[in-house]
Amino acid sequence: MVEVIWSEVGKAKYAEWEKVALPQQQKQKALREFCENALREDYKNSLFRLGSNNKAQSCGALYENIEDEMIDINSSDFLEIDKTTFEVSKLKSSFVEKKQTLDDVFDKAAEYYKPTEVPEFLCCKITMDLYRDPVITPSGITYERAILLDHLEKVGKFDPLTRAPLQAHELITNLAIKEAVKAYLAEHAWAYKTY
Amino acid sequence: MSTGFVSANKQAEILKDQGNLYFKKNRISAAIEAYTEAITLCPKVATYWTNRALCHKKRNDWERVEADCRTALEIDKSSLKARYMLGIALLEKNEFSEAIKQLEKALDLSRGGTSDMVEVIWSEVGKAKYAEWEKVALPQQQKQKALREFCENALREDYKNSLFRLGSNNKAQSCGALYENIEDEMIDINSSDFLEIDKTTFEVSKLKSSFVEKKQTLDDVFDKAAEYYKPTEVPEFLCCKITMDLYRDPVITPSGITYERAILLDHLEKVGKFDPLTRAPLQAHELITNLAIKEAVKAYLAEHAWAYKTY
Repeated sequence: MVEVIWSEVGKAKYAEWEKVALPQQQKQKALREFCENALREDYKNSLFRLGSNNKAQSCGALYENIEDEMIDINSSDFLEIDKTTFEVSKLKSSFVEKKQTLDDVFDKAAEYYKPTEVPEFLCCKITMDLYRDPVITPSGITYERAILLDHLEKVGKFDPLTRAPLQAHELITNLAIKEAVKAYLAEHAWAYKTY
Repeated sequence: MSTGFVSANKQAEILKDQGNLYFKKNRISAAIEAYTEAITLCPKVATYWTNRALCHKKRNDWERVEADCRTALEIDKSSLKARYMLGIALLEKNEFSEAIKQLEKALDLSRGGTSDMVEVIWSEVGKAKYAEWEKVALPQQQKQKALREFCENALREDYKNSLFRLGSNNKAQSCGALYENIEDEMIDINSSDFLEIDKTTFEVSKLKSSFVEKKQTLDDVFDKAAEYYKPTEVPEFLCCKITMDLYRDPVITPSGITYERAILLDHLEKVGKFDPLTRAPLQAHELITNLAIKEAVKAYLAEHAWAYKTY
């Protein structure tokens, strides 16, 4: 019965969050595309300006190939324009670096929406799920209360991992971890889906 | 019958004591001389080397601190003082990851020692970890700041262009006026200027709220990314309720509350054998290491390394 109720609580919290999160996620996606395009435009313009400055037709050719970031700019086309090649490679690495920063920033923001791996220390080693009601044993290991009580009753009166003797009355509620799970779910509400 | 012969060992000890006296009186050169003579007589006594290292430390002569400590460690791997001083010498030389290694070894050695020493070493570990992180984080933070400005400008340009296009389409001069005031996001577009161009007003307000919304999204995204760099409030459940600091070595009591081990042991010894918050009877042997919270703190510091500053 407890299991069923927990499951429904998780579903409800997930649905509540999803209603707000999906539109936000869309906005971030659209903004990310906008910013990426702005970076590419900026890069194109810099190359073009460089091309006009140096009257180097090859730079115009680069402009065509802008989407191919794996351009090998050491190819023989550019042997005559060493200085330009150097400046082109500077512009290119500047663009690549900015794009990387953009990805880092938006990936970080996306963690709020995209399921990633839930941290191990917030999960019971037996259920592999986020703790609902964590208890700690004298060995210092934390388990899901229901699972551990089940184990003590049906398997034996010992700590599942250390095998040290263990009685139900020795279990202590790990209040700090309970708070930690709550805080984690607040920032990663997608985890409610399998709560 | 006294031969007047004093063994080398005894002589060295006398010199060491002399060195200690000089050190107490802040006569560092004399102290160094005395220790050096002791070393010459008995080079295999680690204490002479660490004592001399302490003198070099007082003079901020980190190269020599490192050299003497390394020698001391060759003689005695478990010299706490040598590990500790080597750690801070490496820290001074900005060799962060080596410094952290040595300091963490010192931490291991200090268990069971005085809590003051443990406190000092923890403090240095925090400093080293913070410095190590800062070296990488500052350039990254700069890049994000520059990118944020770039993106914000791109959004504004896009907004300006949309307004301008709208202005040209509707031949509405007033939109051009809006273009001038673009920086003032609190434009009251219900002012009488626009009474004649209702439809345009509506489209303008649509463009404006679209811009405001995008700018908000941009701020949200970059603020989230900036958490890695900017100090915010450390979560309460990762801090000891007594020290108000992140746990270093958390232990849980039968009441379910988690405390900093050193502080709690201190309390049990000096104040009384009871849980500080619940006041339930409590003995030192009842304390359990809260392994999960220890991992939680580690993970938190990995994402918020600025917190090492006050660790």
